[in-house]
Amino acid sequence: MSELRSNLREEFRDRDYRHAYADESLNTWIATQIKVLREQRRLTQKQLAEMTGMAQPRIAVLEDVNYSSWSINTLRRLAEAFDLRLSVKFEAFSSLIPEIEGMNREALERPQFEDDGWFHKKDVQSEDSEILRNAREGEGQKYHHRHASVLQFPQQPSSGFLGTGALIASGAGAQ
Amino acid sequence: MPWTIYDYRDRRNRNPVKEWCESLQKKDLARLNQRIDILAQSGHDLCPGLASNLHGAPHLYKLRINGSVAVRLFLCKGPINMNTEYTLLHGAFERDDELPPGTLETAEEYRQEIIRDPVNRRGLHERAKK
Repeated sequence: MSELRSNLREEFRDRDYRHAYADESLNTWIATQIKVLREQRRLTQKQLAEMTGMAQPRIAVLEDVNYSSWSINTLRRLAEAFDLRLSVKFEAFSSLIPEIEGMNREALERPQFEDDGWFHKKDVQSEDSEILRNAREGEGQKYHHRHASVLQFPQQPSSGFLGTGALIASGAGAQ
Repeated sequence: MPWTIYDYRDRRNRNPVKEWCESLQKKDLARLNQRIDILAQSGHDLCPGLASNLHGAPHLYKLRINGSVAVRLFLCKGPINMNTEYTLLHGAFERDDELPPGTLETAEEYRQEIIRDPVNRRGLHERAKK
């Protein structure tokens, strides 16, 4: 087990600690993904501001990991400008670990619709079954099934506890 | 590419960065540890605002955590291997947008001590726990 996994496995047993850590991770992920998606599309902050009807300084604020007052409406406007769908999900804490371990530019990039290969292939039958299976299982559940025996996180309370929120701009079919 | 994180060690081989981190409230420490984890995984260039440059201290960076208090942790790239390492140097609390007098000078002094004696004046990062 990596040192990071070992640390988080112990530290996340504390409820306040894991929620604070996950909040900070959410801020880091969104701010960084906005910057990465803008750069992937070769847009300046000024151009993105014009596309979203915001001022350039506002984009600079959103592209800062220290910002935390996200609104879904603002993220929707950004998703439309990036030609992506916005995905808002509640996730189990164990799903945070691969996100931290895999934090790099490639993991944050998403293709806009025109470059989203699945929509532009002639023969997609073989891929359809995989895509539908993934959609049924859900990303969080898939991860849980594959790694639960390795991570062995304590069970979450079952009465209405939803874990941390995740706001992720996703390209359709992108992993 | 993952980065190696070091902590400054004083003349008595104590780890003042770890001691300072352990003085933080639990939620602030969680936020700070998250930033250090991301720094170790991605470096500071990918995530905007993760570690900001400082006017008048060209070799230093600042991690900012705005929790119950304004937590500031000063660090540098390297200073021995600039492509694979960061060293955490000195922690402070900012009040009314002001750092305690001498904060940046202390961090820079520690960086210089490490450059002069890298074997004894730093060690691998020790994670603070509550």
